[in-house]
Amino acid sequence: MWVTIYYIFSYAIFFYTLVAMISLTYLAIRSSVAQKRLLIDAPDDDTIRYTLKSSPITPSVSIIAPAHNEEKTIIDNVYSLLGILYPNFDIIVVNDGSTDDTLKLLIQEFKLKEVPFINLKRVPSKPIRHVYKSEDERFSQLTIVDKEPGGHKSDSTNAGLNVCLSKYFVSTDVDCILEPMALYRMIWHVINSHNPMIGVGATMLMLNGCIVENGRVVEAKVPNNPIPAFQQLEYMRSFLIGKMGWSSHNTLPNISGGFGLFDTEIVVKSGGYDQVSLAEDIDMLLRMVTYMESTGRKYSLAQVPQVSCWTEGPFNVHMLYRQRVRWARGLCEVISHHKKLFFNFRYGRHGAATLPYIFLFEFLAPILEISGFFFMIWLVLINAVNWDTALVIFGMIYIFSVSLIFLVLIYDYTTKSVKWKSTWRSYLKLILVGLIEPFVFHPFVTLCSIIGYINFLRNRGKEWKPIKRKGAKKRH
Amino acid sequence: MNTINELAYWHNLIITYFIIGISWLFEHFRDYAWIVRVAAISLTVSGSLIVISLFRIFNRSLKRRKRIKVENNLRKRYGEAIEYILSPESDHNMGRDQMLEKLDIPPSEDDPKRLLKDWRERMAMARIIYRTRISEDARINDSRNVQVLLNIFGITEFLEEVVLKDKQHLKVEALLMLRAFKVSTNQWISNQLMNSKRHRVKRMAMYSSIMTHTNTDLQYFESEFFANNFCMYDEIQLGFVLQKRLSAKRKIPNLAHWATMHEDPKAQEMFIRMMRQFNQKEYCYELEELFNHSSEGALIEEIARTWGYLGYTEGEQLMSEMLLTQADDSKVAIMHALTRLNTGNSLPALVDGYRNSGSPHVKFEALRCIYLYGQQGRAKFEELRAKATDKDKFYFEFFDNELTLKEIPLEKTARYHSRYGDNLFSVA
Repeated sequence: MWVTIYYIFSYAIFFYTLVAMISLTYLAIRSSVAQKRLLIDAPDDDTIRYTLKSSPITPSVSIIAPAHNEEKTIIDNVYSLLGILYPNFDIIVVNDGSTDDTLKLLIQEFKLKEVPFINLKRVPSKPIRHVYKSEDERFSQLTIVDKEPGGHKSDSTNAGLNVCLSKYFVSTDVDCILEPMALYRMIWHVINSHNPMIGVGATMLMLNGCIVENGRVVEAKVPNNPIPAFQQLEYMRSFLIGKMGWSSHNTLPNISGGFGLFDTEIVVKSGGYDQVSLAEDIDMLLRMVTYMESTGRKYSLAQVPQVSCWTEGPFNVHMLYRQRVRWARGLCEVISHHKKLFFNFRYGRHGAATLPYIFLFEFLAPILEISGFFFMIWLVLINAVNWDTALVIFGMIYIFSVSLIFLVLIYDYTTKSVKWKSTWRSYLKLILVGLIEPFVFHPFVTLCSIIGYINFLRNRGKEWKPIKRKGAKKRH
Repeated sequence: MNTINELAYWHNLIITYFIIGISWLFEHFRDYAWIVRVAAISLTVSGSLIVISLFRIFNRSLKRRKRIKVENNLRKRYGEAIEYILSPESDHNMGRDQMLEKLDIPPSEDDPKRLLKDWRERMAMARIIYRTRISEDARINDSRNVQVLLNIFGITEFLEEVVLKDKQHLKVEALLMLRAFKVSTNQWISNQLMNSKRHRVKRMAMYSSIMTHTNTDLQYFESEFFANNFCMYDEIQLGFVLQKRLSAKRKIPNLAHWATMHEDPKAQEMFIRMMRQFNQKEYCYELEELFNHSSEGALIEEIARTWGYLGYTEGEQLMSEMLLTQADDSKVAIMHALTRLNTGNSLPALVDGYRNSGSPHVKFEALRCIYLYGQQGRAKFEELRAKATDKDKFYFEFFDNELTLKEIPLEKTARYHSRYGDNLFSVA
């Protein structure tokens, strides 16, 4: 019987790996097609700005940025948001019951005064205490919403939605640094879509290691610290291959919570963000897809390859562990909440392809990897490993993962997704990081995922613990 | 021919070695399990991918470096002069000699082929002029200096060549540049491009043609418009080219007619919105049928906004009658339109809107419209304030707060594309 189990497991893993590799190759090819299309359809930044700035129909956008105990950085960050280049936008900073001086500093710096407001409770959120607007004309775009603490980012975003006036809104974090052209680039996809564009995702990268001046990233670098460097590569792979590939089929699986543009009306009609979800971004997208598919409406989703947002990632093992366990638990929640969508053709391509892919290759992968690891140890102990075969298969997986890194670099170079300070030095660092990633970073992330799954099964780890930030390197 | 032969040679060589490599792998791993053979082939393919990737990055990097170098050199040599020539401060009617002097080009070298040697330099120069042209500072200058400048460097002819012969993305870029330079695309070229398989190229060519064509030709575009879906970009482009037609005193189509003929509600909305841009009040009556019978809330909102902006008072009664039967967003759009018309007859309808609505959003907007409805409206507003229940009193706070009061008037140049463009504090 053990021999039968051995054969079934070995072949299953082999087939699983092959299918995963074929899927990734397919996504990479699709990503390349999408980038080629963008090359034809999306002009340079100057032209986009020229076209949209002078047009009377440029859509309005609200940037909703939740803040909780951000007194050290809030003023710089709000100034950074105010520096966005777009003719028709406003900023809603949601103070999620900060216990420090976040609100006080905002009131002082931006000369805020309380204004009456109507909270229509279009989407659920903790009560709004006050709404402030600035007396100073220079900050007329700024609205501060002071609400009772909700404990989750999604609750704050919902509160922002309850006072949002614009056709589109951007969900971001107040500590993210946005590229000045970010809104223009995203709205370009909206105005070029023949179906209503319900969401646009943007590429995000690690702020760690970059130099910031006046709220702008002036020197983009791959961090020297290996932990954010691993994440840098992981983000680039995910955005430039995975998400670009899916977006070419209009089946984007996720629009990052760090920076994404959404159609306000559709988000409201989909019920807004889940207030307690640990994966509120993917949950929101699936809610929107469910709403659009169940009402039979056509829609589009897009991904912008150029980096539009810089965020500080975990810089030590403890923070990374906390983040990844939370993500894994969030994935379990999403699968549990939206199980009717999985393998369900009634929900379009998302139900038929994207979600099954997520289930098979993102949710199941850590389980199979860990079980494979123990299986291998057992085989070694009983001296049943065919080392020639094992090495060839290991080589196949390793070389494939390295070749993906090179593809990422090609895509990065072609789409000019990042304006690196030194392209070759950055690429060299990324290649080195990529060579050791399968032995260091990947096993760690896999372990975190398993712990996240266990937490979900044991109904633990529901609370959102904020990630500590060091802040970006500044040049004054 | 040489290049083609060389390419074919390298292509064949790579394919041959690839086949030899795969055959060798099959041969070498013949006695192994099929799993090992598949793994070995995957390994080889992935390895090849790495080599090809490296080669491509290197190749593209070289090309980009060359392009940047060429552009920087040209910018260094002519950039400052071009910026001055296209700036509002310059003489708007600079002669060729004057411009050559400014560009520091001796008359003996006044030949486009001598000034710019190859394709790369011409494209770089076109981009430099284009970027300067569309920059904030240069935009108010008229196009006469641009035409002379283009002529000196032979850019117009070059871009027309690009439009005909080059890759799709370059065609689109060249068409955009020609439009920004206000150069009419040659009719023959436009016709060629309108048969392109690329949607974007086809559309760009179409818009370039619309800008310059006679009235009869627009009938062709009419059928083209009715056969296709639209996006917001089309609206921007169509708005732009029709504006140019208008400036050149050419006839622009009856957009109300286009709206009623089209079956797609999104396209209908687009044409109705554009009626505001081109002040087509004379055709507003054609929308009455659509307003009466459409079940599309967004369409009703656009018609109401258009009537309000254009002052189509004949539509007032129809809007007043239909106000209470509409969805919340449409109610708000109709109330705004009635307020803009401000004939003195629709105050009762606005008061009904305030009293009969359960939505705080509609209630607030109704109150705002009453407040803005002249003396008569202000008196009614105060009357309603005096009678307001405790529950409704907070609506009036908006009119007492100096910050929110500033935003109460309806914008004249509102973000009229947006369903929520005129709304202040909430969205239904």
